[in-house]
Amino acid sequence: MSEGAVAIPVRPSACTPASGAGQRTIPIEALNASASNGIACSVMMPRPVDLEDSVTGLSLSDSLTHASEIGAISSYQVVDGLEVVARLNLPHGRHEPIMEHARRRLGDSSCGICGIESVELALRPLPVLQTHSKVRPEHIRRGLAAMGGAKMLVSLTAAAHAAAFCCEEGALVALRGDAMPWVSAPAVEHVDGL
Amino acid sequence: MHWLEPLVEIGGTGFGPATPDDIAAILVGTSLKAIGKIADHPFIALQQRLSFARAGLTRPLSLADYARTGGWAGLKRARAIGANRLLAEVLQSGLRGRGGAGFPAGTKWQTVANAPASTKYVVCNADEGDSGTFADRMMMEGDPFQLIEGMAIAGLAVGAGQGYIYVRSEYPRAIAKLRDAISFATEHIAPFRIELRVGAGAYVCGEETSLLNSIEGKRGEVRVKPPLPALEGLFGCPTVVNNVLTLAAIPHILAEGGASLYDSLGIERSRGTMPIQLAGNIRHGGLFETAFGISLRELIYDIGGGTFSGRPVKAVQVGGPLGSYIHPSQFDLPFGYEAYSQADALIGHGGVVVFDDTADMGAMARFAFQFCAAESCGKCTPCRIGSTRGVELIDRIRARPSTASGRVGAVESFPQMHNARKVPSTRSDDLTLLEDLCETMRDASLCALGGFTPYPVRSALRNWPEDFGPDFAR
Repeated sequence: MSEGAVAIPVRPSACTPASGAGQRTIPIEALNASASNGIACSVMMPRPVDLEDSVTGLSLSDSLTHASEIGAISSYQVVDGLEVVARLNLPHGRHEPIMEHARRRLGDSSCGICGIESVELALRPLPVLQTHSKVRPEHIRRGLAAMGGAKMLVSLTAAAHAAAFCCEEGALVALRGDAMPWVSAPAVEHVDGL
Repeated sequence: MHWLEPLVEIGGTGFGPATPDDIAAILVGTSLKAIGKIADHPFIALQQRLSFARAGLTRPLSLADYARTGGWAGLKRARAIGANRLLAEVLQSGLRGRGGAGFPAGTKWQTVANAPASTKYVVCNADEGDSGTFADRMMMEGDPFQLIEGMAIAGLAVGAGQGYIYVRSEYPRAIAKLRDAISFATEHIAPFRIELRVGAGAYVCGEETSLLNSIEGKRGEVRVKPPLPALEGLFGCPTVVNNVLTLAAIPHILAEGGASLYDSLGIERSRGTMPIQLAGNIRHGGLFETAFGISLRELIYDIGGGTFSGRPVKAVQVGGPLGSYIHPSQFDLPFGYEAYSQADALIGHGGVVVFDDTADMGAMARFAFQFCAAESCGKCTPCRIGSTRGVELIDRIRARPSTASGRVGAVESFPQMHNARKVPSTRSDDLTLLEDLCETMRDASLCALGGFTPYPVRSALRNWPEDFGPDFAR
């Protein structure tokens, strides 16, 4: 049993009556709102066990802050106990981009990409990295193979994504059985510049 | 006349059901199994056979027999009058698709004829998968040239040079007969050509767009409509897709005066004759071709002789596994598209399956969902997921009395099931949910498989609520 997942009894098939009882493992996820410096930034559905990673990872992948600036993350449950609000406080200088991010948002809540007004903006040209080594196909294959052996939650539940940070040669640095941004958090201590 | 089979016929007189031990007595004329002239037997004499006029009387693969009994006359006349008049006559006949949907054949043909394309196709749907139906098989085995002639006329009408017959693999004899018949008829229908394609057992491949995918060698998955197959069908070309019985009715309509004769039979906008198939728990089952308008009471009691078990009739399912269950209080309903539609039922392919009073209609409602779950192509969510949820829901409703409350399901208690109720549901809640599920499946499924599954479920619940729990209040 993986942490953050539970096994429930299920009928394996609705069309074969004699198939007996079975079991299926489901990842437990809950609504999470995150607020930076008191400004609501995102609403997502992470596993509660991944709460800190999800909030940290999202802040990093949205370029809202630098890893070293994220202090303690406080969280508390609201209303019926099913939803969690996570709060983090960033240095004063980070306040303006967060405000800007929130101001451009079309809805009351958003994940990382919804704060952007159009597909064109989301797909805008990004600054070109000046220094990076070439990734070779075998490195990608090695990374994928390493993920295949390690993505526990995915193979257990068939109901989650997996994302990994790999080094240039394809060795696994960090892996999370959920969405892409999550993995930035555990990768922080291994990757310069995050 | 299944109850009389094996039926021996000598000079028009029938003996059945015959066994090898009966042969001597039959030959000397002392057999107690004599039923008199077959043509005078009530099961035959009461029919109005147009499509099946020849079946059983001629040798199915004899071109001489076919020509002698009026075969090829429709095609000959069609060639003489040309596509425009031909189309007008099919429209005038009022012929509607016999596969289930009942779409006017003439209108469909007109659409294909008007579509600008150099290549067009005629596809015959012979994937007869509805429970209790066998008319297509009897046509293909008993009078295959008539179907071939109908397809050739369709090709002439719409400008198609190529036809395909898609037959289910469960019909090996029909497949063998068709293969021979197509090869024997080549010269008669040229330049039109017909090829045979054999299905692989999927119910959903009887749905026209899945069928087209299957012919193309793709997964038997439903296509989104529009575009209609009449405009973008087989290999992206305008295509007529008609059932065996629709196409087999065409030679009669194209015979001199055939269209007005056809139009003179039937009720409302249900014109002509319908080969009705009596099956299930019935004493005298078989194919009964008659004009639209006959009541279920006549079909089941006068013609069918009641149940095979001798017990009272409890329900009749008309139109295949996804047809409504009809209560004996509705047995005066006249057989026709409009009357059935008004009664929230469908005639489908004309299959009539009888159940006696031992049938558990709650189990039959569950079976409808179970059938849908087994046969769903998986493309649309209401059908793929709704069918499984339906099985679970019926089980839940049947498993507990109305007064006691259930428990919150394991999934519903998960935090990610944000909108799921966190208190136990009552039976009334479950019935509301079932109604909601039926509505979603009916309105949002891509094809009739998911869309019609609510018919048997709702009709069973409406007419036999006591079968859904011992203390069920009507």
